[in-house]
Amino acid sequence: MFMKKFLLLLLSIAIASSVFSQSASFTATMQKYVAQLDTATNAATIQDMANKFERVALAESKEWLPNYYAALCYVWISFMQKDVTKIDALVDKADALIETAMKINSNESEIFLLKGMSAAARIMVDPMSRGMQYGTLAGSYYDKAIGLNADNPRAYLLKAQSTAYTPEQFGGGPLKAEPMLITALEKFEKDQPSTSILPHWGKDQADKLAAWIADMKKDVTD
Amino acid sequence: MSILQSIPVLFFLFISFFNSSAQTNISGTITDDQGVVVAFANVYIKDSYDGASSNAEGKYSFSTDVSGDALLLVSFLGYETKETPVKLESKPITVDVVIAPSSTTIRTVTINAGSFEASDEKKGVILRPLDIVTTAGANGDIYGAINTLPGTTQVGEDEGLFVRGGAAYETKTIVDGMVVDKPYFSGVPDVPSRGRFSPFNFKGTVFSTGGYSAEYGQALSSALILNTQDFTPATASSLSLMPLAVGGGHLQSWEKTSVGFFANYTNLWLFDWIFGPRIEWTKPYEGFGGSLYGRQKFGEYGLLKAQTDYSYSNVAVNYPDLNDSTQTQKFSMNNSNIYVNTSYKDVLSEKWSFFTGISYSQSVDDMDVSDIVIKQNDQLLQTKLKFTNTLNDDIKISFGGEGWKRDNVSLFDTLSGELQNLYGSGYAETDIYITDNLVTRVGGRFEYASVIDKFNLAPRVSLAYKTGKISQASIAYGQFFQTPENEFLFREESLDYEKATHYIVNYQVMNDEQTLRVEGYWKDYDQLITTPEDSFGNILSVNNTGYGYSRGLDIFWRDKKTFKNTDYWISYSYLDTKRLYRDYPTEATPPFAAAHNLSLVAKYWIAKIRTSVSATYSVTSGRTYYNPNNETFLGDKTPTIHQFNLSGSYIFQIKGNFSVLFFSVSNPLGIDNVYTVRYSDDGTRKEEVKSQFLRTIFVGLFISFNYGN
Repeated sequence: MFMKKFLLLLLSIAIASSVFSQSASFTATMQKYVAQLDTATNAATIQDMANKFERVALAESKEWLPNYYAALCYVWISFMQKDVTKIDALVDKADALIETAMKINSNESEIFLLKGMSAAARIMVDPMSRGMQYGTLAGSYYDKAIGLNADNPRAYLLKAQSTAYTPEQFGGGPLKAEPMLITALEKFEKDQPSTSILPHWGKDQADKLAAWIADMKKDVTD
Repeated sequence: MSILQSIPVLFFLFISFFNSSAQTNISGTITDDQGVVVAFANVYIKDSYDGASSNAEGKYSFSTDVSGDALLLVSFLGYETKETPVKLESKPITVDVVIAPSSTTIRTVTINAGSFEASDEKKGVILRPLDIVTTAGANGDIYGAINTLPGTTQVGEDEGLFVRGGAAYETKTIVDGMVVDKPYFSGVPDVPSRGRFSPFNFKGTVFSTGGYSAEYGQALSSALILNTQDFTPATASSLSLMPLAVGGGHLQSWEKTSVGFFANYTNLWLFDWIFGPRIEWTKPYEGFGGSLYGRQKFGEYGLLKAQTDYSYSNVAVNYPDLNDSTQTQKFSMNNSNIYVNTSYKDVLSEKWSFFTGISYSQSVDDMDVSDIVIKQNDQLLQTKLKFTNTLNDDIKISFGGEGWKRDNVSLFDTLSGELQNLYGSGYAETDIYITDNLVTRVGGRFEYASVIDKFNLAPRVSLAYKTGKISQASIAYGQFFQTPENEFLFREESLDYEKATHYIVNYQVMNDEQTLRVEGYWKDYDQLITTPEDSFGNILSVNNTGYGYSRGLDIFWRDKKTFKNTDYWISYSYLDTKRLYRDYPTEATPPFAAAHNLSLVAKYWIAKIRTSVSATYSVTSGRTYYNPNNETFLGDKTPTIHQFNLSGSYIFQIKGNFSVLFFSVSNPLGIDNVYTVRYSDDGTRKEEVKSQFLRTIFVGLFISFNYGN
């Protein structure tokens, strides 16, 4: 009798482990990868992360997050890319992943924000020709991201960043960016994603921008 | 069941349990089809998370829990994803994979003979739309900028594009796939008019100097293909202020819809008063216009575009009467113009997409030439339908048709005429990649015009071959037909199409910063309209017995690299052309064809003061003109024409709004060019036709108001 129960238990473990392994390992894998991404700094590591997230994305057709993260990696790589002729191909790849993420979740603030970032990435290819068009497009997606979630700190950060690095003559500059950044920093304080795999990046970038703005202000007063 | 009996079952279960989670190690090297290792390729087992990126030596290694038959996938940006079947049996395996660049990456060869493309989106184009706006001397006019490209002859006294020995009527402007009947504002003789469309309206421009696609017809020489902006989810207002014109507009956008308007008013009175034209304007140019436009997205790919333009202008001028020095010729003109263009494009399936459009234009000219009243009312209604099928990676097919209804009413003093023409056309074309380095486009077009009751069939072929990493050679052949101009149809309807045959050879070397393009061509004209005259200048008949040829060489060099912050291009065209047409008694080089045309356009960006300056210098060798005292018809030539223009834009902000202060100086050196010479009928008096202003300075302010940023 005992043996029978034991066998049954063993059998159910065997079945359960194969059935549930996928979803249990989805969260575990994503937790591991997102943690790795949190500490990734160079383009090589981020490309490796992009591959990892894309593998998960291809295996999990109902999850937007792996697509989101893979796209985020490509956008970050394009920001780091010095050879501007390579940017469009990277952003095309990011846009395809964003599109997939959007089909799964059409009303996510973080995805619209990423769409804005991908538009902004294209400006560098030819700032003179593209600045107006893609700058406006990026801005409208950042606003859409805020519209969907007014507490998304990354949306304020991106607006602050793009304002800060826009020349004053074009309506930008550190002083103009400062209030947006303060809002971003406040929102980061309160930002408590319900799971550890939801987007939570940006705090360190916000701190860096704050330091840069403080520096610029010092220069002005000196 | 006893324990002993259960043991085999237990054993089997354990085996299978452990076996299922036993790992297989896979390793190998990723190379491309040239044997070069590929780093960062994504190597993984299909439908699992298991995989790795290849390292700097192209090597990868990972373990997987998957067992049995599986697919090993290798993917990387710019390469085709490769699937390799593998057997996973807990034993380490080595799988080396070769991946090939994707067709879009390696197929950089494009059909380009005869065409110059300006686009923000595409790679490998020669111009950006912004280049058109910032070319000195063009003053923001599309046609002015196009005239700095090879293949054109600059004709100072008339508007239009005179391409490779062709007259202005041989070039057609096409907006969103449909021909624009009146692309220029109505003007007065000897003063070139501007184009009706602002370069800001377009996301892409293709200027074809010959050999163009079977999709387009009714142009013997050239097609200027303009594609309007798609949907942009931006809400913005704009204002432009100039001493001679004011304009303003607003664009409101929602998620899938945008609606905008633009209105402007122009009055050249102040300009004329300051710069003192050499023409006696009795009523300086005055005009106003407005546009309404909208975009609506449907689903993922569907896009509806609609646009309506209206403009009105009036002007009056006195010319000296060459035949009677005591008289002046009075000329006045009112014009109103309506232009409507609506189109829709969408995909039908993964492989099929379609485009459909309808456009309508009406232009009413009301002229008074020394008390003779001339009225002209031209209407054109067009419909178009086009299908495109991407059969596979190698073959794309496109076909479609057009239907036009053209109505022209003309009144000359007491004479009046009416013309109606129903025109239908169909075309089919296919692009085939024979190899990755060799692409061909084969197509044909048939047309029928009711006014002359004739059919035509025009074959078109082009071929492009990639000769090196950044170079390609191409050839093109095509036949082109054009219905005779109205002035002849009013007189005689039993005419045939005018015809041109193009042969083009092109070689191009291009990287991101430098372009060299050399193109040779031969163009045969046939069936041109001739109007033989008797000795009193009366037209005896109108027929299709004209002919001619054009041959030449066009060279284009653009360089953004050599000089810091400087972008310049040089165009040179050599042209040899003769024709017998219109009232020509013999074959002759027409006045709109210069043997040598050289343009140098340079743009310099001064980052420190956020100012871009541009200079254009062009040389046009002498053009022929008619001198009744010379026995050789069109045997005289004007002196060489030198033109030099400057312009600049200063970018700044007004209360946080993007602003551009634009200035241009036309002819700062005061070169007094003679564009052409006219004689009195008896040949005793002559007049040199020159630019109406010697020098001008023009200043404008453009402000864009952005909201919500």
